Amino acid sequence: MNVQAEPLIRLKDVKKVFYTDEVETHALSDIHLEIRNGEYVSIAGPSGCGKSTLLSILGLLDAPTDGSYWLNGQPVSELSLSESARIRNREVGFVFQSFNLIGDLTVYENVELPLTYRGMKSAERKERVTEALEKVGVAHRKNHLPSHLSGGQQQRVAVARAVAGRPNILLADEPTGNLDSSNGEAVMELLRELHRDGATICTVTHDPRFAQHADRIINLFDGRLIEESASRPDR
Amino acid sequence: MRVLAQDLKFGIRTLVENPVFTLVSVLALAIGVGANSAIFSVIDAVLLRPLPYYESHRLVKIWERQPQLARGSVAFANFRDWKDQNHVFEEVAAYQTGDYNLTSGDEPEQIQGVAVSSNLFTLLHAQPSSGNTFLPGQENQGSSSDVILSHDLWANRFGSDPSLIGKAINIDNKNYVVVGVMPDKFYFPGKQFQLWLPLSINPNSPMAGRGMHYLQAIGRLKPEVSLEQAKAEMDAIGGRLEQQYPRDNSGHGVNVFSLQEDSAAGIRSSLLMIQFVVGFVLLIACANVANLLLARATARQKEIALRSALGASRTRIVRQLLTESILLSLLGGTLGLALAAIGIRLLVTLSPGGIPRIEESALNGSVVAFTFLTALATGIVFGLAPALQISKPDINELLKAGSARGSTSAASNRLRKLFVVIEVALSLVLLIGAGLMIKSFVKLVSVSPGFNVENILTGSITLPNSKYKGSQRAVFLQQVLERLQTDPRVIAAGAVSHLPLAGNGPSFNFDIQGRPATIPGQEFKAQLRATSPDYFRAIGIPLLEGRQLTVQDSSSSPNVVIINDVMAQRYWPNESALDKEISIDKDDKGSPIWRRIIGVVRGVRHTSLELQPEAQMYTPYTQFSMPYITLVLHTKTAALDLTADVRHAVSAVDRDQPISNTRTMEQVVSESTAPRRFNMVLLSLFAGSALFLASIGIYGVISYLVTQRTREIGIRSALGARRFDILKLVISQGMALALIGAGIGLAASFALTRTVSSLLFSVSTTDPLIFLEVTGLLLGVALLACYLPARRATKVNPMIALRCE
Ligand SMILES: Nc1ncnc2c1ncn2[C@@H]1O[C@H](COP(=O)(O)OP(=O)(O)O)[C@@H](O)[C@H]1O
Ligand SMILES: [Mg+2]
Repeated sequence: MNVQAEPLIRLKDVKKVFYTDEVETHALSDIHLEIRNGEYVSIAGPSGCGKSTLLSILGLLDAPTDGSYWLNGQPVSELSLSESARIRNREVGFVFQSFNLIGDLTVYENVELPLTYRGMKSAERKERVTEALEKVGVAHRKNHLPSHLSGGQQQRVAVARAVAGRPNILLADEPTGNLDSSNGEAVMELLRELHRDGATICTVTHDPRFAQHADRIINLFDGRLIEESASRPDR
Repeated sequence: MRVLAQDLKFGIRTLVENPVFTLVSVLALAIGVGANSAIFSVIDAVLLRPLPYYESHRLVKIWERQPQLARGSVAFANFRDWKDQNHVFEEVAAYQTGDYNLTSGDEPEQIQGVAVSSNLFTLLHAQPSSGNTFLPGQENQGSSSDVILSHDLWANRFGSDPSLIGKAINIDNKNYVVVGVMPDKFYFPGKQFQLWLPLSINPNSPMAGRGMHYLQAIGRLKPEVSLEQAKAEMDAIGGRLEQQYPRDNSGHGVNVFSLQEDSAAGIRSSLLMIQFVVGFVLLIACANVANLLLARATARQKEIALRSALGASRTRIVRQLLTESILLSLLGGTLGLALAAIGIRLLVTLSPGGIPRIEESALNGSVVAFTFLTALATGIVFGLAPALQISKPDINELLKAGSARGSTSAASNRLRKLFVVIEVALSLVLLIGAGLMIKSFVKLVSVSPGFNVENILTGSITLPNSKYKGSQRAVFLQQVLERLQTDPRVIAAGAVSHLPLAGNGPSFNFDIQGRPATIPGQEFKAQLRATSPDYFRAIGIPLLEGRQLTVQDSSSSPNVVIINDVMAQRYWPNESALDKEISIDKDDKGSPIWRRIIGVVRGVRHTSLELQPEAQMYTPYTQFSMPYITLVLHTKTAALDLTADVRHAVSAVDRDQPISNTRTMEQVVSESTAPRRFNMVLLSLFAGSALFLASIGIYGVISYLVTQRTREIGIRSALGARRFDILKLVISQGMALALIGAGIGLAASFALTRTVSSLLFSVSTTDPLIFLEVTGLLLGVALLACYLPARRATKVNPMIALRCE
């Protein structure tokens, strides 16, 4: 692959302002950011500095107030609602702090859910789901409801759900936030593995230990990018 | 007491703080309760409230049971024997209703009155407001000329003249002395009857025999005698008379009914069906309110858990919740009362004629009590279940953050869905019932009656025997018709003794020349009408064979008769009926009068639009005289424009002769279908309310589920669900409930519509098209009810997925 190619993600002058009850919250200001294919980027910063907001813009859950965002070279502002849904479904994988598995669906059905939204044939879905569940090591619980699983297992299912669709980028917002440290470590290890296999990953994390896993750490403070550090210059 | 005030204050505050919840619950309750109160008030007035007579529970109606006829008119001789032989009645009285021409005063007027046996007023214990009533023993004289007026007639016609008592007034060209005026609101046997005359029957005339059935009879039970005892004894007497007089009485007996039941016999089943229907509507409303309360309770689980954590006892909490639902009930009851008031007025206006006392339906004490009791029962029963359910959950579990969807909420979701399924099923049953009735009605009004209904004006005249005899009637009629025919707006002017679809007319047995005389039970029988020559042309009955009547068919020319195709087919199936001779009566010497058939016309529906034309025969007025005349004018312009001209034509011939009931043929036909229309409109109205309530129910539940699942929907959207996927998710959930409900409703309809088959007309009780269309309509409305919350679901911001719970 050509290293000179267009970055997977490019943000220029991105700004996000929330207006609530006559209060303007400048959640993000002057964000310039590029993420290349195969990179592992970690976003760090104190609570309320805008990490989740940034991630939601990257994942097309929300639109910037100002500035431009190119995903795979395509300007995101020109996308219709259904095109954004399609991109969320095919090109982005999400892992959330609170797992966000759907309580009425089994583990298998949870992982299958995003695939059903793209009208994939059931045989192919089955193959992908099984593969993803095996990769995260919860294949044996596939017929259980999420409430019967431990937090660590639930988050691994969430990771399986995020990767089953083979997205271009995996976005994770504090994926270890609701886990004890050993489970947290296991999930981060899982992400690292996925990265080694070639996945592009962008995580938000408090924990400096886990931030170190990334190629690059982006520090946010009060909605601004204050520095970018290469965490592992050795690589 | 202080606690109650606090409960109330808090209850009011919660209701005010949730205006949509409050409004929807109150509206649902009001519709359910209001519909029931309105119908209850009619049932109360028509069926339940005692008749306004002294000890009216002792009053009975006595009928002569005849073959195929439970309520047959009574022959005078039989009546006299009943009266003499029974030991169960304090009094028995007979009466006969009729039309009377009142000519005293300015305009002649036709008035309905009753000829009554002189003991009637004693029997009823009715006192006049001035003057006297009749004295017992006044009957059988054949000459009495006293009259008693109703309060309304006295007030409207005679300006409440206090000196009227003892004066003579002119009725049917005879002088009657006003002996009494009855008090305001005294009616017998119905509101429309405005004067009472003594029933005078010459004991030697055929009218006093056993063969002429024309009387009605009522009796007052002795205080210690039950209705059953009276029935038994009258049965025995009837049996004896049958043995004694087999020629006239074979197959005849006596039927005794309580007067109250009898007066509403025709409308009873229809009213009870409607009560059943509004009961359904109330059930649906209840399911709705229960659902809303359940949803509210679930939403307040945390608040309630907090209260009990702070030490509130379970009873305290249940009482608080109950206070709220009772408040809701009272609001719903009040609004329901207002709806009922409107509903009652609507019912009374829409009701077909002939429902006794319906105009007395009102919001009286018992209706108000009924309304609030229903509302309160609803509120308590349907408030209690959610209150009990919600007050018991594990406090710890609920206060623990994060466990939003505990098992209680799963259970209440199931209950909620069950309620919706029931609502849908019930409404479908009602809708299908309404659909069948509507289709019946549409079919009925599109039936051709066999004559023309457009641009036809009709008006009734009764020529009293005391003034017009035999051929004088034909002369009078001829003069009126000649006047009318000169009017350039009149295409044809005719007259008939009994207008089709305007009440029954007489049927006559006849003999056919050359065939053996008929034996009892197998008589030749046809409806007999007297007509003027131009009647068929005026009303548009086509002549199929032979010739029309003409003015040459006079009293001195050979007797002729026109018959209809049904009669021709039945009695001369393989030959022409023309020139055959029939006899319907005998001359003074007892030999038959033969009448030659000169024409065959098409049959008309006479008794009802619902019944095929029967055998009919028409004689000219000149050759067979009847006192009843209905003028029939076919006009070039709007028929009602000629109302005054008809009146003038009649009074120009006889200035004392009133004409009544002037109306168009369209009105006549429409009035003949009024009972069916009443049922249809009511059922449609209530089925519509049911559908509305059920759609609120579906909407409420699905909205609630959407609110409950907001986060899940956000997650799905974050995972790439498109708008369509979300719509499908929500709608399919609602439609699943609607489909299950519809399935149950269809099954129930198959079972239930059979019970209304008698209310349908040429529509099968399982008419597939109606079942299909109505189910389609219901599912369509359900879809809309799901779509609104589903659309809201598509607006859920996927960002919600990033937020922690
Ligand atoms: N939907 C919103 N409406 C208003 N303010 C918001 C919204 N989402 C986030 N914010 C505000 O924007 C700022 C950044 O929030 P967020 O991105 O969630 O921070 P972080 O994830 O770094 O803790 C905060 O001040 C937060 O209150
Ligand atoms: Mg955050």
